[in-house]
Amino acid sequence: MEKIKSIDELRRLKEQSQAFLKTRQKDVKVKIYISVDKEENTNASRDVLLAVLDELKERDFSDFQIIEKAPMGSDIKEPFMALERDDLVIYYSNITPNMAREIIVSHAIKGQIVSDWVSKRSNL
Amino acid sequence: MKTYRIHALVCAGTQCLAAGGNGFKDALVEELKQHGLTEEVLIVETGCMGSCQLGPRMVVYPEGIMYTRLSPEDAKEIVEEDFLKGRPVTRLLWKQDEKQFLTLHETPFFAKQTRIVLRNCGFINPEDITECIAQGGYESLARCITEMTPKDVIKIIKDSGLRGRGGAGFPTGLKWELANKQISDTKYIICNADEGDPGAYMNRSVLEGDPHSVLEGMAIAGYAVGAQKGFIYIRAEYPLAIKRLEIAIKQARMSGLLGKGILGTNFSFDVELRMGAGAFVCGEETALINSTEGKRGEPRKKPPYPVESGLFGKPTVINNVETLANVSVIIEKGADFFRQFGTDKSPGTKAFSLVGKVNIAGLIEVPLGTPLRTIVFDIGGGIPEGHTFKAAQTGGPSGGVIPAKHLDIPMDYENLPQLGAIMGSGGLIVMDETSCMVDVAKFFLKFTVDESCGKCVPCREGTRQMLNILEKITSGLGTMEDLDLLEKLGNVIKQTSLCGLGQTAPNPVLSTLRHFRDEYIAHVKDKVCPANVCSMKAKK
Repeated sequence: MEKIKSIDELRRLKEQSQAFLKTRQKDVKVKIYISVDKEENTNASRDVLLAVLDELKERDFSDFQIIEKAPMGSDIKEPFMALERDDLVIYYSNITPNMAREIIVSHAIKGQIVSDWVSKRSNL
Repeated sequence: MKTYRIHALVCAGTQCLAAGGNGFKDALVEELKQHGLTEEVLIVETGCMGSCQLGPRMVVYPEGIMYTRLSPEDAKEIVEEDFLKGRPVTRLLWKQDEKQFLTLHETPFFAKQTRIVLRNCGFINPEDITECIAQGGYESLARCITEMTPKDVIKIIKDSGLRGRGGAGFPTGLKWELANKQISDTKYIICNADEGDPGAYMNRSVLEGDPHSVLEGMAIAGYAVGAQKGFIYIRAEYPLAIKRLEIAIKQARMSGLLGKGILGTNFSFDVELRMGAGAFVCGEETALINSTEGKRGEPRKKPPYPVESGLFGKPTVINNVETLANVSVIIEKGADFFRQFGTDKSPGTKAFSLVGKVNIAGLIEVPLGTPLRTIVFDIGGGIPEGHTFKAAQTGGPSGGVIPAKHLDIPMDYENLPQLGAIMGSGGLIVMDETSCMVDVAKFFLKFTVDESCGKCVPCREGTRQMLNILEKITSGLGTMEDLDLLEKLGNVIKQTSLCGLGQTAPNPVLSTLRHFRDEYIAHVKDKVCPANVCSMKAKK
């Protein structure tokens, strides 16, 4: 623990520390909804979740929350992922871990929707 | 930076720990290991979350799902259902009046509260200064010492109308101004953490849940009055609060937020702990000073007041834990923000420990002026098991009772004294029709008789005589003259005692005589205890 030498240093530390608390805050830049596996022996959604976590860690992106969701209906095939960003929710269905990684980089971090894989969109 | 998709906040306040919270936490740690989730789920031990009756408790973020009355056996199900499948374990959710609540803020218990003092309690890890800094901790201190003069700081506190939360309600800004004007090479700040009222645990909860808010308030007070040294006088029966304070002081020193040249300025301020042995009288400021100096905890004559000649004969500001926890918010958000809450003469909020015959006992914070009815029935969920509200005791052994016909009284510094009660530090004990008010008065008086330091005759001898009379009455041996004698004696003790302990000790007796005289008369004339509590030796 180093000494904080000025008010500016304190404010920088505050910003860094706030990132760690994002999981507990109301307002975050991106909310990521990921399906859960229905069957005990399948890990497809779990693999997507782990890929998402790994990619977020790799990119050092912390302004997010991950929320696990139950199945969404027949039009959203599992494993699915929905991203809430900029007042818009985009659903990606039937995704693989590699697709999830690309969605994180393009959509979650850069704000560019991966149009080819979108199955549904809605406003907040 | 390491991030976790789930933050599981486990209440590690004294009440939840006493209810077995550690057992649940240990089981949760084990289940996370078994399921390979230690890199995804962070367990955070927090201070008191309130609603202590429903503990041990846990809140799971990001969704804020709240689990209650947890046992070690529940850990497996929570991990497998909630953490792995996103399905809340409904049987462990908060249930009230046939309704189930998923998150903390949906509950009536929390919906009617305003949390300024308790803003971080139950939300941050009190043993990690970075979580406090993330919530804006120490930024007000930084602003004070880099952008404001001591007089600017005092003006904001005066404008806010903040009054001492220890009981008397003295204006904090005025106290600081008086100390600031004293010419002395040394001045002191003392935080009074000698919370001793039976049933009161607001201050302990703040220190357990957010110790840095108090340290920051002390440092700001030090800057405002020109003090470089502070002491926290805390009773030794608060081991968890002491442990967390020690950690907080160490971390603040290592971070350069306490000690010499804070944040590269010329301002220096450091804090030491002083442990009290649990004497109630040491909550009185001059007895507290004596005890801090290593002397017997007996009060001193006033004047001189501590701001003139306090600790080691130097100007000293003594503020209560809750008062100090308000300070950084007032500096950060301004006097007008603070005045949005409460009343004109009693601005801000007040923390209460709501205990006794109430459905949801716990730690609460409401705007001053909130009606007692709202606290007992909306927040506390009313009286259990079909019983009826009879009275509430505020201010502990120094306070008085509020009867049912005054349930709508605004809880503030102006209205409570009109009923013979006082705000006190925030202990609020709810009683139903099974409580005997004479017995209640006897209980509190026995407490003050035990705790009287013995220095002055009115308190030492007078309260003893009052207790003897109450024992006569509750044994069925009292007379109507005894009631008059109780009143006369009580008023003499109030007027002639040396310190606040003696001056307020008769309050529970006088206020029960005022509001429940019929019960005293039943004991005396009919030789009957209407609540069937007292063992009447002499039957009519």
